Amino acid sequence: MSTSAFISGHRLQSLALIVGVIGTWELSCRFFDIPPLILPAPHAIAARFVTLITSATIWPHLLATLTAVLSGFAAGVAAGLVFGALISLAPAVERLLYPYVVGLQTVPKIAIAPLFIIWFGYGVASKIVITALVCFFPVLVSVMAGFHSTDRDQLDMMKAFGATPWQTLLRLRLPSALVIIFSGLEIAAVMAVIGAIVGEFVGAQQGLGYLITALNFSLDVPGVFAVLIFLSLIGIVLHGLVRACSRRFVFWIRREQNPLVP
Amino acid sequence: MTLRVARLSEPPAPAPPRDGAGKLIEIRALEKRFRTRSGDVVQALSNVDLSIAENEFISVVGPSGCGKTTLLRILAGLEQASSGAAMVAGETISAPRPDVGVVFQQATLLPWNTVLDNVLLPVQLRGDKSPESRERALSLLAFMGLGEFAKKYPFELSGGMQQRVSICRALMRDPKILLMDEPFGALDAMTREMLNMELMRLWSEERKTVVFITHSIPEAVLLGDRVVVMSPRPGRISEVLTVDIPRPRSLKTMALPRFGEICDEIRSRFGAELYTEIAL
Ligand SMILES: Nc1ncnc2c1ncn2[C@@H]1O[C@H](COP(=O)(O)OP(=O)(O)OP(=O)(O)O)[C@@H](O)[C@H]1O
Ligand SMILES: [Mg+2]
Repeated sequence: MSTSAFISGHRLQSLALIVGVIGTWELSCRFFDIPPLILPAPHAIAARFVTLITSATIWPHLLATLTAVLSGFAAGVAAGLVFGALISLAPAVERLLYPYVVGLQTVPKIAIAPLFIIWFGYGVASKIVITALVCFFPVLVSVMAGFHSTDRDQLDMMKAFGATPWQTLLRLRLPSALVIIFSGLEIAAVMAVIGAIVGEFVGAQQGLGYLITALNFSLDVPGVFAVLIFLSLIGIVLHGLVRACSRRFVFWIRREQNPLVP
Repeated sequence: MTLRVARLSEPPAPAPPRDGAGKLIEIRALEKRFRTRSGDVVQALSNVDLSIAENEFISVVGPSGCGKTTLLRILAGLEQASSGAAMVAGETISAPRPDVGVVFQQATLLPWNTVLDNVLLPVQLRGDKSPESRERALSLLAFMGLGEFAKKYPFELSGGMQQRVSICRALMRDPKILLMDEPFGALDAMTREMLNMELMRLWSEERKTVVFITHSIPEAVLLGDRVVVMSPRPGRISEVLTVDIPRPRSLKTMALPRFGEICDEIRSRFGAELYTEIAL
C-alpha cells in the first residue's frame, strides 16, 4: 500500500514537471514574443492537434504509419526470435555467423532506406521492410546474448539432476534468456517508430513522416509539432505494451528502484 | 520418531560388493588437474584415498582452494577424474547418478518456478508427474518447516529458506547419497545452527550417506562421524579424524570438553599447514 502511494507520488511529480515545462514554454513564447515559425506556443500546437483530428486529415496518415510500425515490428521481432534461436541452437552456425551479425549490427540500416524505396516502392511495403530490419537486429542480438546468460551453477544443478540438453534448454536456458530478450524487444519497440518515419521521410505518399515533410514545406510549424505528439504516443504505447508483457513474463526480476547515488 | 515422507519406490537393492570393497563410496588414488586459461596446470587433487561406508556422515574441512568442491563435483559426476577412480556401489562415476542428491553452495533454485515445482524438478525431469511425487514433495517441505511456502516463489523466501528448499529438492528422488557443498556458508550463525539441527534430524531418520563440505570446524565435528581434513597445493587429504562423541548430539554437544579437544586437534592441523606456509 505504501509502495503504491509512493509510486503515485512519483507519477504526480512527473505530471507536475510536464505541466511546469509546458507552462514555462507558453509564458516564454508570449513574454519574449517568439515567432511561431521558430517555436510555436503550446496552445497553438494543441489547437492544431485538434484541427488535425476534426478535419480528419490525420487518419489516413496515422493508419499508414501504424500499419508500418506494427507490421514491421511484428515481422522484425518474429524473424529476430526465430533466427536468434536457430543460430544459438547450432554452435557451429553461431561461430560462423556471429562476426557478421555484429558487423551488420553496426551498419546504419537507416542509410539504406532509399534502396528499399527503389526495391519495394513508395507504398507501405517498403516502410514495413525498413521497420522490420531495424527491429530485427536488436532482437537477434538479445536472443543470442540471452541464451549465453545462463547461470553456470544452475547449469550444473540441472546436469546433476539428470536433465537432458532439451530439458535444460526449455526449463533453464529459455526462461533465463527471456530477461535479455525482453530488453531487446523494448529497444525494438522504440526503433520501430524511427524505422517507419525514416522510410516515410525518404519517399512516401502517406504516413506521419510524409505529413511532417509536407507541413514543414508549407511552414506549418505548429502542425509539425502536433504530428510529433502522435508519433510519441505511438512509441509510448508500443513500448508500454512491451513493458507490460515483460512484467507479466519475467515477473521474477525485481527491478532496482533505489538511486545510484544516495 | 520416523520421517513420514512418502517414498516413491523401494530403494534399489545394493549392488554386490566387488573386490571386497564393501563401502558405498570408494575413492582411490584420485587425481584432478585443471588446465587454466593461461595454459599452466593446476593440481586440484592429488592422491586422494577415501572409503565411505553406507549411512556414514563425512565432514570435509580445509582452507580455501584445497579442492573440496572439486572432490564433490567428481562424486556428483559433474567433473571427470584425471586419474584414479571414484566409485559408488562399485561402479565408477562417469555421469550424475539418480541415487545421488546434490546441495550446492548457492540454492540454485529456478526463480520462475514455485517452491513446489523447484522441489519436484528432479522427478519432473524423469517425466514423473504423479500425485505421489507431489505428496512426497509437500511432506518434505513440511518436514523442513516450509509447508505454507509451497506456492511461493524463491525470491519471496529468505536465504535460509531457499537453502532448505534446495535440500528438499536433493532429497526428492530419495537418494542414498547426499553431497553438500558448504550449504550453509552464506547464512548467519543462528540460522546455520538451526539448519544443522534439522540436517541431523533428517540424517538420523532417513539414514543417508552424507558428504558435507564446510569451512566451519565446529560444524564439521558436530555433524560428522568422521572429519576429513584437506590441505592445499596440491589438494590432498592430510588427516581423517573419527569423532567419538555419541549420538544423538545437540547444540549442547559443543560445550563438551571432548568436542573442544577434537576441534583443537583439527585446528592444530590447519595451524601446522599455515605455519609452514608462513615459514616459506
Ligand atoms: N574449472 C577450473 N579450472 C581451473 N582451475 C580450477 C577449476 N576449478 C577449480 N580449479 C582450481 O582447483 C583448486 C581447487 O578448487 P576448489 O574449488 O575445489 O577449492 P575449494 O576447496 O572448494 O575452495 P573453497 O573453500 O574456496 O570453495 C583451486 O586452486 C582452483 O583454482
Ligand atoms: Mg568450494
